[in-house]
Amino acid sequence: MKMPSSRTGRASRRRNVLIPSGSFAVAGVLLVIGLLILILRFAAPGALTALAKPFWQLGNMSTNGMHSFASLFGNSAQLTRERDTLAQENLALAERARTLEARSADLERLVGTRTASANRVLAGVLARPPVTAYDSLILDAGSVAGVHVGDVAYAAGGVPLGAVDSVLASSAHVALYSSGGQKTEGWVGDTRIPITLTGKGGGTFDATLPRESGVAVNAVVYIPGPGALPIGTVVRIDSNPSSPRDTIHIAPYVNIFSLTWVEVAAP
Amino acid sequence: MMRGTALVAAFLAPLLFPTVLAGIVVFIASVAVPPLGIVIGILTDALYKPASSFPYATLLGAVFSGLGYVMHRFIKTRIISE
Repeated sequence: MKMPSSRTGRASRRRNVLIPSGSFAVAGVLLVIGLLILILRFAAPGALTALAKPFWQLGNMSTNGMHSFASLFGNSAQLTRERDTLAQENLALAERARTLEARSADLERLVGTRTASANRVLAGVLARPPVTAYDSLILDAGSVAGVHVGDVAYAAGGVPLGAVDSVLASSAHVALYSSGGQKTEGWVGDTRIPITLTGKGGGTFDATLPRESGVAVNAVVYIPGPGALPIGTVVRIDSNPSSPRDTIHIAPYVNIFSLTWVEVAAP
Repeated sequence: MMRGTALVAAFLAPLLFPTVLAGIVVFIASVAVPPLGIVIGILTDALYKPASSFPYATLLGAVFSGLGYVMHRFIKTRIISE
């Protein structure tokens, strides 16, 4: 008489999808953690940011370390040539900046200034795309440092990046203008043709405008600010013969993936 | 061991990895521990979602949890391995 096989019994039990596994404890703990996160988000959002801050700083340190490590394997002659080229470009840009500052000062003396210089808060970037979802920045300065909801974040050179949409005591969240679906009014080209910039994520925008507008590739795109603030250039124009409007694709001046600090000021 | 690794990797992914890579890590972790998807989605929205935006990360996390649960059940019953 053949004895029933325990192996067959275990196999028939495992193959029955109706018998639940023993993972309810883990699932329960995770759901409790999820509820805690939701409660913290509304009751004490600063706690979540404080918990995440060491990991963001670790990520930044790791990224910088990897860059330094990778540079050890670079061809030293090539690196030297690149450094010399960049140094020359830097000198040229510094000279151009001094020239533009002088022209700006002349214009201000001619037409007068409308506002006093803004109080700007210098803030370090804790987290940036692509780590952050939704094309946003997490800054390490908050209400204590003088950051307010609605303030604008600027990169080096005064390029606007986005607006502060939530502030905690020691951190702030900036929604970039390039967030998916975000609409921003602006202008394009020397003739300042009005357009509506639509964020596409990854720091890029697109916009539509009439085909006969005459906008060309490399036209500068501006958004409102103290005057008109340049934020990028047109890199591609898509024309559809069946549509009276062209779609322009805009690349930003600033590489949002490598931001380390920004200035925050009232709009 | 596998569940512990999945838990740690999933919780660290939105803090250290680019969004796409974090999504892949969370999806794989959701196969091992299905509720991880929606929990990490809630965490991602709590950290990064703008005030006026739709909670896409939570929704995607719920989808990952659902798919992960289905795959988890099939793997457990060894239908895929047959």
